[in-house]
Amino acid sequence: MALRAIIFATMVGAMAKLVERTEDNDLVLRAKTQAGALGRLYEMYYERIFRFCVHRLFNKEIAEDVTSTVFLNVARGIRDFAGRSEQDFRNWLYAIAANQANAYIRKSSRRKKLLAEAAGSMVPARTGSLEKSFEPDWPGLYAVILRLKPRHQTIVTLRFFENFSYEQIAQILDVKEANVRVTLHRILNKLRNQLKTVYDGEI
Amino acid sequence: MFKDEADFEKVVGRLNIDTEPNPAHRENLRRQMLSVFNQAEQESATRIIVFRTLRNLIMKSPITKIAAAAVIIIAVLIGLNIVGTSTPAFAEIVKPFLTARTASFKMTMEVESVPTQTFDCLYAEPIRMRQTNHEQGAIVISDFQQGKIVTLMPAQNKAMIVELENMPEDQGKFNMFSEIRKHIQEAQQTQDESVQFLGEKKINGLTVIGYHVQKPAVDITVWADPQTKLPVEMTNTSGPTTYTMTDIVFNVELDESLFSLEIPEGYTIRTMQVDASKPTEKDLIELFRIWAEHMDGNLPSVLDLNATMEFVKYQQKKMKEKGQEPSEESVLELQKTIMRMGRGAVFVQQLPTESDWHYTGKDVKFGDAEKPIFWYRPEGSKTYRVIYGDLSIKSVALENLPQ
Repeated sequence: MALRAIIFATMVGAMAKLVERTEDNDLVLRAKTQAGALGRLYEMYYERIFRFCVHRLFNKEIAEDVTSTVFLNVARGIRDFAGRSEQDFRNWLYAIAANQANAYIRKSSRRKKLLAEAAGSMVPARTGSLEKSFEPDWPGLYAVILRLKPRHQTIVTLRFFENFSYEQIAQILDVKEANVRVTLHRILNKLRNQLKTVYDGEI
Repeated sequence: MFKDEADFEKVVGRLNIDTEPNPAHRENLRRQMLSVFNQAEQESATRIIVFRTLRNLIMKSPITKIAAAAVIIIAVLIGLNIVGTSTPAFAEIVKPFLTARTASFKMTMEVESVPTQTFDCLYAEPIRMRQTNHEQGAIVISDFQQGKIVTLMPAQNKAMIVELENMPEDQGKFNMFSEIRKHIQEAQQTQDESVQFLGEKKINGLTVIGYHVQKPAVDITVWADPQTKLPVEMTNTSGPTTYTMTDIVFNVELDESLFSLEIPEGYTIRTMQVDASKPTEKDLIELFRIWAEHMDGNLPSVLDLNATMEFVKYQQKKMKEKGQEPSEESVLELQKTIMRMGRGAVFVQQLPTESDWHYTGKDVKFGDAEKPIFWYRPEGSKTYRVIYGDLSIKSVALENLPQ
């Protein structure tokens, strides 16, 4: 009896998941014409996009501004959005967020300001900081990430801060998965060298 | 430091990063986003109804026929005002940039589920346009400096003259071509992140360079000749509507008579005066008042040009019920009424996204002092203006807005 109950419960659970997924797919289609459905998508993704923006832009106020731009663009563009599934929507949303964040920091004055802010929040490294146990704090790591190309910054954020798979990152950036792997490998080498330089006091 | 990817992952995992969102921002953005979504829908609906009205210009009922003409004129005024004052990217472009004295181009207008329409357009300094739609047999000649729009229907020997009164002075600064060329210059000279270079392509054998300009309320793709820096093709997309300008020729010789506002002999002429000043909140109040007066105490179900058709149909129905035939005079009166209400609709259309406007008047009876029907935040104001069913107005803080 207990076994049957477990099987039944599992089946119900699986069906619930299936229904949930179908509903989510419908949700994207409905969001093209229904404000309520768009509102639900917003609730599902607001925090994720805000978090992505904080990771990309360090400053929470700036992250709020960019998050606003992202969702307002979604509101204007969703009727013309060709995707149908939630996965399509997520890729589209993160692509917009990545573009907006990159657009923000592309202006050198803004980038300098962010760098200064991060540098000002850094805990100064002590002598001998390059011991194996040493780890950079968030401002320190951000300052180094900000020296990367904007597109590379996006890859780092999506991979390590948002925990996206290579495949998902490739979909968002519209490139091949192998390309992401190779690029990330190079980025990590660069980051390692940069961190050594910064914490070694060379710059 | 870190050795490999897995190691770096652990380093990141141990970071203490504050990503807690601000609930107020979350709520405000939600409201703003849905407002933008609804507004975009209404703009699309407006364009569709104007387009359909154009297509169905020749209708059976005389009352509807006249009303359709009124809708077209309202549409012209909406376009005029939007370009002149409310669209942010366009509003930035105020300096005269245009060197072309005249221009000719084709404009195709595509709207979802409606056949594509083509207009032959002629432009001449300072602000004159002649738009011919062969399919509908309508020619619209506008001269905003003279404050006049003339619509000719040669097949019917009919003409309508609209005299625009109280035109805002800054309307004279508007120039369609200057905007396009300004966008191209911006793209070439600045690092503006809203302008994206599209590379090269060929149009009719000519290599052109393209730019995509995307800003709030602006989604333009311009393909230009890199040698002359003049646009070859311009596409403006907004929701389901796309306008494309092609065959653009600058400084073409155009006979002055093409822009003549004189009506050919033998035409039946109607003349109408229209207040073309910038609409204000008072115009919106007037819209509600007139609507209630003519619609048995009800208020509009929506605030766009769909409402105009709703209004016309209702009046038509009332006349039918009374067994009345619309007289020339009553039709003209109705047309003027629609024009007056149109100003209220234009006021709403001109409100920027940030105004966060909402309309909830559907099913509310005129005179109900308890029910809010419209609210918006005026530019620079911290509080909202809330209009109630009795048309009283109160200033209300964001947190006290109707749910």
